Amino acid sequence: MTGSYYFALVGGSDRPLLETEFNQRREKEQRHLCQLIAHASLDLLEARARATSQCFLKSVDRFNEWHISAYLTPGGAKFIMVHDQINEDAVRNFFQDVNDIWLRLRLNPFYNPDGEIKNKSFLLRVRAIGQRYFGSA
Amino acid sequence: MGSEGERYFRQLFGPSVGLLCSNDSEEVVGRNGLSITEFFQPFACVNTELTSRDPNGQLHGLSNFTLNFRNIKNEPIPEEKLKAKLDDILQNSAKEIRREQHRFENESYNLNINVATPWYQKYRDTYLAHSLIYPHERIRHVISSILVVSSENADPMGEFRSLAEIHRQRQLESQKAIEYNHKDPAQNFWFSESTKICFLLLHDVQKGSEAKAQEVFANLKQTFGASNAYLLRVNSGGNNGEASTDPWGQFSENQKLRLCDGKDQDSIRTFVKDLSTGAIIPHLEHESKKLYEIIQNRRALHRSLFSATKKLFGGSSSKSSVQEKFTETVEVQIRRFGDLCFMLQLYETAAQYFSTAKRDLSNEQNWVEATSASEFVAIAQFMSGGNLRAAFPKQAAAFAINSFLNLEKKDLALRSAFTTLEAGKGVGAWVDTAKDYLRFSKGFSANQIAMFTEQAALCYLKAGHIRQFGFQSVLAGFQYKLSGIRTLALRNYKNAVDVYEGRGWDAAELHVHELAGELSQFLGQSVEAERSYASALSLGCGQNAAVFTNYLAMVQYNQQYKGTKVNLPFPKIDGSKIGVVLERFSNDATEEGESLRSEVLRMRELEEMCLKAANDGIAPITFKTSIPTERRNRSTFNERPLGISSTDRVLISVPIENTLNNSLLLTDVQLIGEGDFTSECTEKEVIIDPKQTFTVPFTIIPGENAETIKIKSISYKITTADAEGTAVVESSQEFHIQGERLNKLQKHRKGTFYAEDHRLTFKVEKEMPLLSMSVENLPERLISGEIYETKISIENRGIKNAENCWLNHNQDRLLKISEGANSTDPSTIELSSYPSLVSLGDIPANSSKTLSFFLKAPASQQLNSLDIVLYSNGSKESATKESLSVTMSRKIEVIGMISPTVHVLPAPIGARKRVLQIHLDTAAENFTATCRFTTSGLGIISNQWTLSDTKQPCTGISWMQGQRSSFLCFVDQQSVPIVTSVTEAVDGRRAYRRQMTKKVHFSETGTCDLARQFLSESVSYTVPEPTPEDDVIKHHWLDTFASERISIVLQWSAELIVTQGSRQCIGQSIIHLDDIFAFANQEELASPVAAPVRAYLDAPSRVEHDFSTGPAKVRCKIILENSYKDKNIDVKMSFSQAIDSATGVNNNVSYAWVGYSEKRLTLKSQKTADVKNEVVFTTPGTYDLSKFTVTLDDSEVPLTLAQHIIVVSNSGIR
Repeated sequence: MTGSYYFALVGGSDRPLLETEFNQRREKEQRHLCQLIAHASLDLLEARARATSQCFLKSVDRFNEWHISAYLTPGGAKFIMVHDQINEDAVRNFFQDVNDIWLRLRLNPFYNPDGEIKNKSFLLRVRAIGQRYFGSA
Repeated sequence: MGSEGERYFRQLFGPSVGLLCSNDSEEVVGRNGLSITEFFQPFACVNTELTSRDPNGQLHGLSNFTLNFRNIKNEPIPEEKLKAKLDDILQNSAKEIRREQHRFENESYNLNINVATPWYQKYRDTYLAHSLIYPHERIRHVISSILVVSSENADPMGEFRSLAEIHRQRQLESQKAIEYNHKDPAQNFWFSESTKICFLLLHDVQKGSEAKAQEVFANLKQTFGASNAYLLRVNSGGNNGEASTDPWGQFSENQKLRLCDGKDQDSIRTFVKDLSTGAIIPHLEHESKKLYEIIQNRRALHRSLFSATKKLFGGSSSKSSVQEKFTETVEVQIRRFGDLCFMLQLYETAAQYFSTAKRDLSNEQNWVEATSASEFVAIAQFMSGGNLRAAFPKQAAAFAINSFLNLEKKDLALRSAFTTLEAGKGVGAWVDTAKDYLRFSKGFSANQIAMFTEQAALCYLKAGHIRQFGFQSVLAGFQYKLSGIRTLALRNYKNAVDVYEGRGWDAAELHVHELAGELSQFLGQSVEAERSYASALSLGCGQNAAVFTNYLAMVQYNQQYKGTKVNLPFPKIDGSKIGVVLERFSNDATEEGESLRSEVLRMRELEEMCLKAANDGIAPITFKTSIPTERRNRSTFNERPLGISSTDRVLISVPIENTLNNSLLLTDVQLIGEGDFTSECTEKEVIIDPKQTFTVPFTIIPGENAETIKIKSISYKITTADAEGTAVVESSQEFHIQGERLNKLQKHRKGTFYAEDHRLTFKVEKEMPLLSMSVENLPERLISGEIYETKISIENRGIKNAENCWLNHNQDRLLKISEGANSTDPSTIELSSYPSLVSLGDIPANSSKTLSFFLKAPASQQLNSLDIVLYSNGSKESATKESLSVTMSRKIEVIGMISPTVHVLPAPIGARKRVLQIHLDTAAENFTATCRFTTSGLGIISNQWTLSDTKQPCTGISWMQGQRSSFLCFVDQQSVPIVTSVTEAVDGRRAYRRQMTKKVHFSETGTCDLARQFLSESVSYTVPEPTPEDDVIKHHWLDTFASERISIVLQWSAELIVTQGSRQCIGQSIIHLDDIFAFANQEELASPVAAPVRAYLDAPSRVEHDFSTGPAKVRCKIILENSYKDKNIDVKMSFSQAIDSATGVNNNVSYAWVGYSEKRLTLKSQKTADVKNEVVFTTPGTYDLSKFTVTLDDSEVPLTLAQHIIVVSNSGIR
């Protein structure tokens, strides 16, 4: 069975620049819970990042049935994945692939850093990467 | 004084002193409205420094030595009653208004949170005070007892004896319970068998007899020893209005009941100190010394047992020791010794012994005792301060809580939270403590989970984990809400709001705002509720449907007190999208956006030309444009207010967007502003569905005294149609419209400044010219080169004259405006630097003017705009004397191109005439309408050439439908010598326009009236603009005149079939030839016929022959091609007709085919065949060789052949 995944890309000042869900089986009302968990995990992400030099910080927190995996890019952007199944390899690969395209987006002079990502092709590519690693429901 | 934590532990784990009171003594104390324990509690701490000796006789200080008084008589509170009492504490937490601000600031967050949670402390203290005590919690067992009797008792000494008996009974029961290894908690346990008992005689100064008290006290000292007897005089007289604070305020608020004054309070303090120094401390010292020695002895024995081998094999005989029988194991005794040390503030020793006890008890697998000991290691380390505190075991609480939970001792786990976690907080282990608080989940009441989650949140806050603080606050709020404690739930949600607000986590923020609103509403905090709901709704990310109805209810409720209309942020009105148009122009629909913006800019350029013309060449510096005169919206420049007449009606469209999940119902919608006006709205009720936008139209009617009208806001009554009985709120919203971003000054570029937007400001003028302009029936779709004649009417409906009017347009040479029918002289070409300006003079009030104009459609096939500006200097009589302009823009689509081309065929050498072969061709694939056309006339402008046969129409005229038309005509050399002249003129006092007129030769054929229009277009020449300083007129024209071109003006008529019907039209195409001879050898175009079977003629185009030697014979080849894949074709070629129907431009000359008159052959599929034939010319001339017929398979319709023109000249003439 495929798990549910909520992904958030967080920029400076803790602003979510991009949020997307894969195989979300839960009600839409649960969105706020995913946001609360993802936002809260930023503290633990920072604490973990101080202790390691790796970008992929693995699972930084847990809340009920949700696991929170995180990735800190060298530029300081934070990737958070809230998921209900342990799937470390897929999450790591997903983060790495998203980091590749995120890097390219950051190099785009027309992208406003720390602005909400509205670039459609970026969104589509993130969805495609998610589709590759987490499959469809 | 030490920290809060130290004080807490000193009080909680101070020596327990049991009070056993007679009824009369309780009555004496009760006169103050207090119980006996409450009576002593405020004075339990001895503030002076005391001393004690440790078991080794070393002296050390005791600071803030605190006794823990408890009433031995008290019966345990039933569990339900205790639970209700604890719940009451949380329910009544709203009364606690203590503030303790914690400020957190970093680059992302700036929070100021009240971290005081007095209800937690009260809950904790009440729980610990009333919960039963376990046998292993020895530090809380009674170590000393006081028997209390008052002097009012009839037989005080007898009462003391009976109390002593009761005490002895109770202690025995407790001892038995421990001996029989009962592990259940009880109300009281005694620390050891040897309990210190003291005797206290209470004397009410006002009621009792002093002599009796003295007597009883003397007797008491004599009977029980002076050091064990105490006399306490109380109830001296009450406060008597003294301003001193009531030490018992926390127990009972009724201060009037107090009979103990300051002197009595001092007596109590002295009693407590005397009791501590005289009885408790010496007793503790004695007990600890005794226990120390026992432990040492038992340890020695322990060691000697292990050294038995040594003894067996002849070691020195050990000293025989007296074996004492103990009911306790040595581990328990060690633990008890630790407790005594703790009470005597020997924290380091205590920690050491607790640690030993923990280890030994673990080995004994006595888990409850071991866990308790481990907790006390941590607490003792915390209390000792210094290095030991730095090495505080942060995992102790986690270990204790998990152990107790595993042992299913939930109440012990709770006690760990209330004790060990306090030590954790004291050493600043915030994150660990927060995690430990969160261990309380399943099996605990919602109240307790909520309280602990709240504590965890505050610990995270203090650790700087601000996001965790937010999350845990939300969870705590949720738990409090579940258990019905709404005040605390609201407080937690509000704390979370500060963390989430404005950070983009919209769903989380919405959730918090919604719940904060709901709770505020329930608690009657209507203003707070309104604010929270408003914040939730303004997020626009899908709120619950009930939020909006609740919000309206709150707004309506609050409105009752405010009494004024409220400013609601809903629905969303984007000021920048508000559009304004004058009613008299409302039919000219103009789209918004960049096209309108560029139109305004184009119109302003045209207006500027008019302005220069109207003001003798120089635009006045005071001039301010009025374009666009008829409308204002986000695409126009709104730096100036719109000038309107008092008779005008202004239409304002306000787009209202519903960003909510509820449908909105607006009634009584009207515009509000300054000035004398009335606003009308045709929509009585506006229903806007969720996520939809509705544009509400308003009409503004200026009042009689209106001078300036300024629309500022919109007012409406708002409710939702989703639920019945929803509150209807009267509301208004101000329009916020920002102008252009400014960047002229350095200041502007450094900051962000916006210009003012005056689209909703109107200057009303009572008397002014009201100009309007209209064009009759101008079709939107024209063929390229089409000339359309129509009329433009200009009207002044105002009551003032429009002075000095000018008309200007953007189609320089393609639009000819004339005030009447003026015949055009084709031999005169007029050029001008401002060709489009037309002076109209004054247009009187209430009059109109009609001008006829010819419009020639542009050559390129695209969308063109025809912009016309009517400018007037205004009226000198009107108040403002400002200029005004009206504009009109029409879109003209050129739907098809007719491409005329000319081939110049060389005439026979020596002939004076030349042949022009003219093709008209429609680019069929681009032609978006069905059209057929024919040529109707031809004109030529040339100084060297003239049309030779002016009387005959062009040959080959026939309707052609979407195909090419081709015909020939002849030109001859001019017989009249060239006479050209150029005249030049400059308009205006200060020159603004230069005009040139030139005479040319023009010859024409057919009915070519229209062809005389737009002749200036045939001259590719730009007249330079004059400068005011330029008084030398240079004749540029003549400079380039030498190499002048030949222009052929071709007039055609067409029938255009469009969706609306067919339309007859005429048009003009102009072909420029640099030199007739330059076109002589142009290659033939490929045959356009792409039939499966094709025929081509391969023959020379030009032949020179000496006709004196006979007729000219030319060999030709006819190529036949069959492109069918599998079909053979029978072809029949007939040359017989050619003899008589030879086309000649000279009719008397003919040619003849001499090879075959007819030829039949079968053409195989995908093959070609060549047929050779000869043609004979008897006279020189130009001939078309394609006049033979080719028919297929006996079909009667011949193939269409491409034209082949051959020019045969006589080489014999010299």
